Amino acid sequence: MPALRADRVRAVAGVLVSGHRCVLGGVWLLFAAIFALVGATIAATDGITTSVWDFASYGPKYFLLSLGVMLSTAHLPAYVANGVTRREFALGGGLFIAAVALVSAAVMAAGYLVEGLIYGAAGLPQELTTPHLYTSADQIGLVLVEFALVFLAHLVSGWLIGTAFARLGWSAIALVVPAALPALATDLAINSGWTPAAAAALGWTVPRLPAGVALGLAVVLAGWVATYLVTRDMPLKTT
Amino acid sequence: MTSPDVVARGLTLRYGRTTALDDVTFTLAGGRIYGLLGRNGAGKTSLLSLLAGFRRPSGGRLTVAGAEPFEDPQVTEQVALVRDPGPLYDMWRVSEVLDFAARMRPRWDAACAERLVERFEVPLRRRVMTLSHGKKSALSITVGLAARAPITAFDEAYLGLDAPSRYAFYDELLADYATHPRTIIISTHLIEEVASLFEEVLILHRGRLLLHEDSDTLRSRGAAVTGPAAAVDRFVDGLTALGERRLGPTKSVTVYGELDGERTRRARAAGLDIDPVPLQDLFVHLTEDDARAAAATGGAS
Repeated sequence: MPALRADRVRAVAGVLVSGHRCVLGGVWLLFAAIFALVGATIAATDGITTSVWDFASYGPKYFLLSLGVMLSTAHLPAYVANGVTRREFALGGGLFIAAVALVSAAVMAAGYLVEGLIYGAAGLPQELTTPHLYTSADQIGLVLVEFALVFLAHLVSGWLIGTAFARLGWSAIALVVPAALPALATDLAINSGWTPAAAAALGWTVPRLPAGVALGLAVVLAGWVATYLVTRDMPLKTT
Repeated sequence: MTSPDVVARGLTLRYGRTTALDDVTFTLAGGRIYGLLGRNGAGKTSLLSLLAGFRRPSGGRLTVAGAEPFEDPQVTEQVALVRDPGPLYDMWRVSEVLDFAARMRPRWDAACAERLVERFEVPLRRRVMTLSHGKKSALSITVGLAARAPITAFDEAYLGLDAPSRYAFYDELLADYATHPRTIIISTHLIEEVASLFEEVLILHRGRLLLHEDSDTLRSRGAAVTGPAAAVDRFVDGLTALGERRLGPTKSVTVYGELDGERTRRARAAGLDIDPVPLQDLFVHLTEDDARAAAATGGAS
């Protein structure tokens, strides 16, 4: 196998990051504004009794899934046309989604902190009502771990779905559910989102820390490897 | 800049049941300008897509400096495939497209890019999606030339340009080639516009290499013999006639095959005119039907 150019991998990640900065910043600002408005409306009408920001992750994680879909369909051909190999793109794209997941997790944690300050000043309880790795919004480390993994898993699933469609066309519709497994399994493994409730209804036992995090990481890694395996000899259209 | 040789041996590419390239063999020496000609569906884009690492061959080998392009970074960084409209980000501004290419292309010439966007009047602040077809073509060409890749292939990349811009492109290409010699491959339908640039010509026909010749040699292989019909008929008897036109008693027959000095002298003595055949006419004749193509393949290497 030809030697890998680390500078090229960094360049791919760097261009992807700089190309998505504005979109990501805009989306997070939009979600923050929506939840601030929702919070203000609830406070002005029924009165707040639980954390509003606790529901903020649902929109972003599906946005990140769609961002992952675009990686192979919209970006890969432009990179290959500029001399980048699929392997370099897979590695650079991996760094990119890791960075996006970490920053997005930091935004989620920051949101809890800001909400905690506002609720504290107003004497309101910041009660969590959805399943998480953490039991309190001030457990910043666990908040970061949960959302970094959840967002990373959704990015990987989106990337795998997009790559399957780029390679197989509409036949890939049959692969959407298997390709979504990293996102679904990670939610389940770390007790986040709606899958734990579904699992409980079916009588499954949800693994907890640290096994859940390890399982989530393994699933994410498996999803990335699967994406690379589909990409590595994928023909690209020239028209 | 030294340009590596491009070598194809038994190169074959299939899309399902369709064979796009069929057992194609050639060697392109580095540092020359090649014309890649062929009718629609002849396999030109397929060949260039293999060169750029867009896909793997189904059979045979294509190598650049001895290595296969697919997923070899040492090769892919040496090849620039310029297409129309090209893989550009619609949402990006022109300046961002140039910044992107600058980061990805190790030999990027920013001054060249700046000069070309100015010459083709491509607005740097505009988003790609808002550009006209012609400006998108100009941007693709700018990225391709400024990449300074040792192998630069233009796949109909300039068809969106209007005629003055196309001639400006030919000027820029020649000037750039003179100062930075490298392998240039031009795939085109506008043969006569660019024929003077070609040092060698490859003609693909139904996925097979019909011929690969030095362009001067190719031109000398064809001749238009014009004169009184009876004299022309006698002269071309035994030669491969590619086509004929008749106007009253005068007849013109295009023949394929080199006319030696003796034949040329006899033609002149018989009052016949011998003229070179435009490359486009030769191309049309050669690819008009399979029988003619088969008759002409003696020159393929």
